[in-house]
Amino acid sequence: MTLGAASATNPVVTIPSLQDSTTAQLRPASITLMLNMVCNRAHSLRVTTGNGGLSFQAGSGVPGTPGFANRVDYATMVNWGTASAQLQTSGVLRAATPEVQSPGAFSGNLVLQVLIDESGAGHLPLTAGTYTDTLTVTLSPNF
Amino acid sequence: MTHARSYFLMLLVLPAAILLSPAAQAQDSASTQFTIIGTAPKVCALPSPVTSGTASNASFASNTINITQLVDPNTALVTPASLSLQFPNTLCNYNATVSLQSKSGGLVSNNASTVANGSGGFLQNVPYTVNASWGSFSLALDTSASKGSTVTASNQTSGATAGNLTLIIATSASTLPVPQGTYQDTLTLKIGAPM
Repeated sequence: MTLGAASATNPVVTIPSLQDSTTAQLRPASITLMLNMVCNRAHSLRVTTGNGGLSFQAGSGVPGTPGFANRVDYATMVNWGTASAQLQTSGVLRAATPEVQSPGAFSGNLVLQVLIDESGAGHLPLTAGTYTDTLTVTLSPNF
Repeated sequence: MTHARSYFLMLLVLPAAILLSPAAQAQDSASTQFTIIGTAPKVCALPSPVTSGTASNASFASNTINITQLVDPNTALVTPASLSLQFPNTLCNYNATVSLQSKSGGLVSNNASTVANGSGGFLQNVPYTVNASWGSFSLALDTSASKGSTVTASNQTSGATAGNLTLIIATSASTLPVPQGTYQDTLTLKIGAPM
């Protein structure tokens, strides 16, 4: 995976080769992102998936065809200070990691890893098309 | 005097706190969003075929179908033959087109015996049929109406398809005899873009 076509408000992570070009089977991919963040009080952090995985958006394939996948699940791991949390997508919209708690102010790098393994499409070939998801990292104050 | 001074300081500090307050609220929560994008391009896979089922009067090797006995040795009429080929685990991840094409529009010969003037009829183009099936998709090619020119049959699948693709190639008995010679054609199966 690569980080490209990014803007300050919405970075885009691109998977250059989502599937094998002869079998249409999912290919593993991963990326690790670091974000320098600061929160000056006790807070919690969570990562939320919009689509519950990379979901089929558009393409020449017909989604829902038996024997083909139209969603790619992935795992995301977040490390913030000494705490960490993990989310495995499964098609559940807006699923989130457990909240990562920081008992006080913290400044440092948030490490966010996205990992697609070969089982992410249930070992089925992918319907031709574009697949997308949004990952949202949220810092919230503890009251 | 001291009391009045303290009060004065409070007046200075309080506005500062009020000024800072909106900024602190604006940064009370923060979020950033990533978009993840991947594209699955069109893919078709057509493995090499193997024979399936029982072949009748025909065999297959090195991508060539050999008809064992094209004509009855006593009548020179076409002897029925059939062969089934299976392309295992054929796949297209979109609604691809399946095409069958007979280059010569039947089995033709370039070394057949000439037909003498005044002779009765002979069959100089041996027609055959091809039936393709792939999941719920099917396609048929019949060269009998081609009159010796290239003939193509094609149709689009309704969606991505994966599974064994089967071709059944068959000749039928004829009512006309066939001149002596070797007869052949090139049959093409294509999946993906239209032929």
